[in-house]
Amino acid sequence: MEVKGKRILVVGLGKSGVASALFLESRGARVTVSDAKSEEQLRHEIPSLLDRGIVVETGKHGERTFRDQDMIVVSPGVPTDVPQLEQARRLGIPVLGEIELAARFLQGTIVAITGSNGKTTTTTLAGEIVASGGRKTLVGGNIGTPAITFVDQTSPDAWVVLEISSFQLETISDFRSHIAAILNVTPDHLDRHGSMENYIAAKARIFENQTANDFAVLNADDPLTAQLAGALRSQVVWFSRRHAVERGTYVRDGTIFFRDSGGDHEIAPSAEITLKGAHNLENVLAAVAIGALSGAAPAAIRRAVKEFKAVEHRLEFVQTVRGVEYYNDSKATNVDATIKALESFPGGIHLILGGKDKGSDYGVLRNLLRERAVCVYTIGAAAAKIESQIGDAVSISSSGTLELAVRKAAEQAKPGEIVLLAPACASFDQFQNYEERGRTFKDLVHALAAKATAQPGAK
Amino acid sequence: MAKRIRTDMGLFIVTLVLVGIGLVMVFSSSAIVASANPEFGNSAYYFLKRQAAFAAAGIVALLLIMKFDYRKLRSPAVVFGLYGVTTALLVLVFFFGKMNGAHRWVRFAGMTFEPSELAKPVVVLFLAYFLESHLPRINEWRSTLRPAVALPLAFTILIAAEPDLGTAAVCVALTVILLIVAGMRWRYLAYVAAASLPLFYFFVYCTPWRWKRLLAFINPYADPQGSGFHIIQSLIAVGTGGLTGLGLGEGKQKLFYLPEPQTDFIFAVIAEEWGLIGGVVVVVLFGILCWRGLRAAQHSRDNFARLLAAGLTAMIAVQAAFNIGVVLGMLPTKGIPLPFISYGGSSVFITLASMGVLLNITQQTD
Repeated sequence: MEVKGKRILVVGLGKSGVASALFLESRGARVTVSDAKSEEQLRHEIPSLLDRGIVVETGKHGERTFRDQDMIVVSPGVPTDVPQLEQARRLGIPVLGEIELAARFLQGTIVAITGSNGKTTTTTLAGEIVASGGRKTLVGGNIGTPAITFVDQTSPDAWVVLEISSFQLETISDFRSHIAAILNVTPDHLDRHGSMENYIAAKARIFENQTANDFAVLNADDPLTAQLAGALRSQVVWFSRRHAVERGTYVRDGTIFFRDSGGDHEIAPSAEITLKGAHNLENVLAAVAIGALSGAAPAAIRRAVKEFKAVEHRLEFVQTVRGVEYYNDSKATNVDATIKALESFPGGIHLILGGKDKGSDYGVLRNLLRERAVCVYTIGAAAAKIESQIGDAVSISSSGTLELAVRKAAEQAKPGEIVLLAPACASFDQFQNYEERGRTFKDLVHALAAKATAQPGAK
Repeated sequence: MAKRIRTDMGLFIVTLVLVGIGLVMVFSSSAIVASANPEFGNSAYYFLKRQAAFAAAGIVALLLIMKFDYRKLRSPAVVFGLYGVTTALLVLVFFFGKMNGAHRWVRFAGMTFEPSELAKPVVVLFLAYFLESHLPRINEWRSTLRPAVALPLAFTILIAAEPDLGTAAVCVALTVILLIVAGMRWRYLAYVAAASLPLFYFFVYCTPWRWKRLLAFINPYADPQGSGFHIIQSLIAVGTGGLTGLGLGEGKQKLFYLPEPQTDFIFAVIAEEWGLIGGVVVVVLFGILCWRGLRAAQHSRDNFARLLAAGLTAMIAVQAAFNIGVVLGMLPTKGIPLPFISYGGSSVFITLASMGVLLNITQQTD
């Protein structure tokens, strides 16, 4: 695509918006950026843009700004139906997303991964596995490094593994990936997509431009996405933790297999996976399928899976006690991180929330809590504020201390459910730092486990 | 009269009081919005801290410059050096991207700076220097008026091209005021006014959005959600304040109605929270500042000091009058800060540094 001399507007100054603007400018485009936030809010983003002569608009999306353009690039998170964009489409100005823009410039092979939960883990692991097979690999997308920043590093032999959100898929037109995966679909972001059908349809767009030489990786255990297989042009590769599949990855007798036309290939014992929890097993299976399709040998895949470690305090699996899984996400010291943590689990969550308030708006958690949480246990100084902001969405148990919260959650949680520490607050009211808070949580869980083995059956 | 060697403490104190009011009102206007935004670290003190840092730097500059004999400014090297640097910066602005429709910023070493803020005192310094040596021939077009108008006009054109018509208007006003102080015949002013009518026609009437803005100031309610929005929100704030105001921190208009209330519309917040009384106090403080500044001009020992003091005083008075006029809906919306009070590093720093020069002049009056 030739952009030299073209007038291009980039809407939204998130990471990918800034990256797109700088990229387009470096290719000789006359770039304008527009973001509804104030100049002062965007003070970290603006200087690098002004230095390059990019025109900046803040505090609003000006009608005129959207009119005099040859092309408009929309960042994920910007609603695609704002009047200014509607107007631009009516005027015949092409409107496309950052991922579409990147795809038009990227060389090499693209792997695209989407889903409601576990995208980041799967993308990261898939990147490790593809790289272990000796390929030049770049990993990024929705979170982390925007795809557009890879353009200058790609070559025809590179593999680009991208995490893609359903928002990003809304704005694609020609985007095509050699391997595309949908991990799972749970009701999520319905506020924006309207209905479940629309949401699944948005996710399915990841396969839209695939050909018979490409692969679609699907979750055989998730009926909502499995049904998509019938309508695809690309070759379907499954993953399942419940049963064997005709082509793809599955678990049999504690061992992960990849099956293709050449038969079953043993990959690794599932006990070697350091990521715990059922949903993580699915993520690993999907990543292994992608890795195997990229040509990585079983031994290389096994090494990559074995070496892939969860980060401490970052959605760290602690232990299963009486069938309840405990997760430590003490590093979630703000509301956004707590949203990410909640999005990692489909439901049955007992969430421990609270600590020192940082002036956050906890109300934004309401929809997710309504969908996925059973109960919220509040601790620390922020408890009262949190309760007043989310009390109408989920049942609340005021617990005061982490110790009491863990005890109450252990009493209430049923087997198969999850207890999650993702407090959305700083820790300084009750702990030195988030590490201490996380370690305290883990100690409490280990103590629970010791008690459970000492008196089996009792609760 | 005996030679005064003491600084005009009245002027100094008024300056500090205005800076103090600025800090309080910047905090009051911005605290809630800042604490609700993660971009500001959810810190209510975000704007206060930054403004305090600039004010502190400005006061240090003021104290240093106050000790620096203003007569050392009366050298071609200083005057034309500053003029050259400012011109270069005003040109450099165009190599940086447009920010909300205007080239305003220059950046180096991680610092951002608005050269148009520097242009205002430099216009004053240049005119004081130039007119002093041309006082006997003040009404001669070729030798005096033409060069005296040409150099500030170069600034004005560069600033108008950014475009920042508000600051350009301030530069024109300062030039006119200094020429009149220097004894120019009023008649020439009428010529200038007549000459500027076609300019107004081309720049304003023929630029639809500027014309719209001008109409918005005459009747903001014609487009209350669009071009009239700012003025209406400002007038609501001022009206709500009544005689005694809602009380410090109690204003509502700063909460997402007045866009960026800590900057150009801070006087509206003052009027809402402190009422008419608070607004009048601020105006009176600026009045005292003008009185002391003009008094220094009157009593100064040389014509350079007289023009410089009058010009610097006018610089503050003109901006304060423009700013308050906009807030009260008497002038079209223009981005002019309220000196000492509005949030903004370049403005606070340069205004305080200019006060240092004025205070030094007060030390050396007869």
